[in-house]
Amino acid sequence: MKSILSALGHQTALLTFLGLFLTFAIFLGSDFTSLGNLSNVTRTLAITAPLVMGQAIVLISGGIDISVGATMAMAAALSIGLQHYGAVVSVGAAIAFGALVGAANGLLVAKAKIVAFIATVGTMSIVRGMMLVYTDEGSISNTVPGFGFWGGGSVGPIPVPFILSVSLMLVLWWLLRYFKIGREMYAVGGNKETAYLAGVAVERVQVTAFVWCGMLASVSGVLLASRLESATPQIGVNLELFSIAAAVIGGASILGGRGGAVGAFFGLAALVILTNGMNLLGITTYYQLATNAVLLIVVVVLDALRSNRAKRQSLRLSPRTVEDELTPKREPGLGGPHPL
Amino acid sequence: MQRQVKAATLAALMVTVALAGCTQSPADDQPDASTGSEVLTMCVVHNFADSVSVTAMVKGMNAEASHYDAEITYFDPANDPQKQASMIADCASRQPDVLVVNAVDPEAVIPDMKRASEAGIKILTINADVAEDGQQYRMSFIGSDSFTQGYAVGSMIAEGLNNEGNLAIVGGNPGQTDSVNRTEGVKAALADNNSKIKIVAEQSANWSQDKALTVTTDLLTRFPDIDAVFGQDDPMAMGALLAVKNSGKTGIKVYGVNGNKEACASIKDGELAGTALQMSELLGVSAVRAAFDLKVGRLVPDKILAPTAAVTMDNITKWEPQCW
Repeated sequence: MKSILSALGHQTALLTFLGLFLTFAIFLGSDFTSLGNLSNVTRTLAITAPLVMGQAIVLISGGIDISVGATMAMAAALSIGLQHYGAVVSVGAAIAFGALVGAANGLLVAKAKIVAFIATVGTMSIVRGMMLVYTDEGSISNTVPGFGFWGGGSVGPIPVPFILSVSLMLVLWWLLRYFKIGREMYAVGGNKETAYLAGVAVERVQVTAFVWCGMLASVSGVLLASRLESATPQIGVNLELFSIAAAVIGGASILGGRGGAVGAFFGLAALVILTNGMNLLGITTYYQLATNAVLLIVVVVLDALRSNRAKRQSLRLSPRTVEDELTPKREPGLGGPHPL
Repeated sequence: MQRQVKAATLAALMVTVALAGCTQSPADDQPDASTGSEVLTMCVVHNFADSVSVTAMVKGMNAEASHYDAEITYFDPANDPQKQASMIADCASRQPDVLVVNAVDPEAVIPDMKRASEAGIKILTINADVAEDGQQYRMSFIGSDSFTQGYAVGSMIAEGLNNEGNLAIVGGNPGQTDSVNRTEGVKAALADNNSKIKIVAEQSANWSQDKALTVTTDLLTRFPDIDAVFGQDDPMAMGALLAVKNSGKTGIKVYGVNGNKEACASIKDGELAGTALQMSELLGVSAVRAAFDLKVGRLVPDKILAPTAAVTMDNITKWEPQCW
């Protein structure tokens, strides 16, 4: 029993999600748990999930990406606007664009040594401006039949984007846990100097994280364009902070070195369910913003309290050696190596 | 690894238990509209609860709803097209008699409207219609005709300037239907009055009062002999009015569209020259009536257009109660 409780204690995002799910299921009944509603919620979750997981990856590597919303919008616009070359070309161009923005962000942060927050705010403005010019400040609509299937269609009761996003989540989880690049991202985020001394190519890792994030934001853009069968200037506005909140609920830290794709997915699920429940209860948008913020603060505080307690316990129980510090941990999640 | 497997299994069990209590079809648990209950259920997805025109429409709907046995639920997507699409899907799953949509974006809502209409739900659009390829999914559009609004303002300008002078137009979002139509309306009215009024400048201020202030200030500097300014909605007209006051120039007439309370007060004080009153409350009332007609199986016209009133200082006392 104790180990089950301890296992659950580490899964903040999962618990938050379940707690909210059960609360709304009890208070709203079939309004909330009906197939139609859950299908709708799952679809919204699935469309935003790639972007949130991308943000989590950047946070893990010690950065932050404020340009995700703008990249998503431009990717959506490209995937619709270039359709006269065929859907494959337009989607490919959208994702390539995301990689390009990610590379720009990565180079600004890694090479030019600009603080990630500032650099990505800059790219956000440029990319958002590009999108508005490209669409002439209006919305553009879809011409390829069947394009709407990927974001808007369903296989039985399950929305198609959900299948795509869950697969993506599993791939990212696998990459972050079992591939060198994944471990290196945690190392760089935890302590850049130590990682460098341990032989990690810090700059390459940082750029890679931003490129993955840009591409994932584009995937979200393409899925949204598919669902709405159009691209509108409002896409992705305010999504930056929302994605950070979701990633942090999922275990990521602004300081880096923590978190994961699965956690981010459930963090997003928690926020999406919260929004849906509040919509069904008729709570106005402004109260919703406040509630999201409160949830985020509660989760972060609880997490900090728990990880402080764990740190103090582990310092007492096991002597730490230099080798311990430099060996990448098998279970990333409790913070990077301590400074020597 | 083991701990996480345990946690995941427990989580899966909890979710399964919760879902076991969920219904298969949303129609099972709700007072069923399709079996002909007397209550008219309406699901309204407007565009932004903070907008003055939406508040007026809602007021009209609630007032009319009290004459029928109607239950209206409102959803506010705060100008986010994705949220609005999601709310339309939400509404559709509750199977109301009628779904009313005030489109944030004319294209983005079409796929979800299509799905809702294919599920048998009757849809009305209010105030902002969807794009042409989406209009087949809605039974009727209840709104004001922006061309007529422009025409009303054009007539006021022709009269106010005695058919001679220079006009500057401060517009809404470039390319947006309302902006385009209102400008066309003004030009048509000026042509019909055989007026020699010249449009010296057309600049967009994106429906924003602050931007209109800056744009108008710059236009007044660039074109010193402007005699009239048309701000395509009242907030922009008020911004333009402030710019005119600040410039120290006298005799420049400013016109707007909407019939907002501040604009009407300004007309009464002799500052704003005129506005084209949109009857937003009437739109709400018409929406509920059309919804009832749809429920009992009557046909509704493709467009239900509310009239526009040209309001100046001469008739302000008559129209003031309708200002919103």
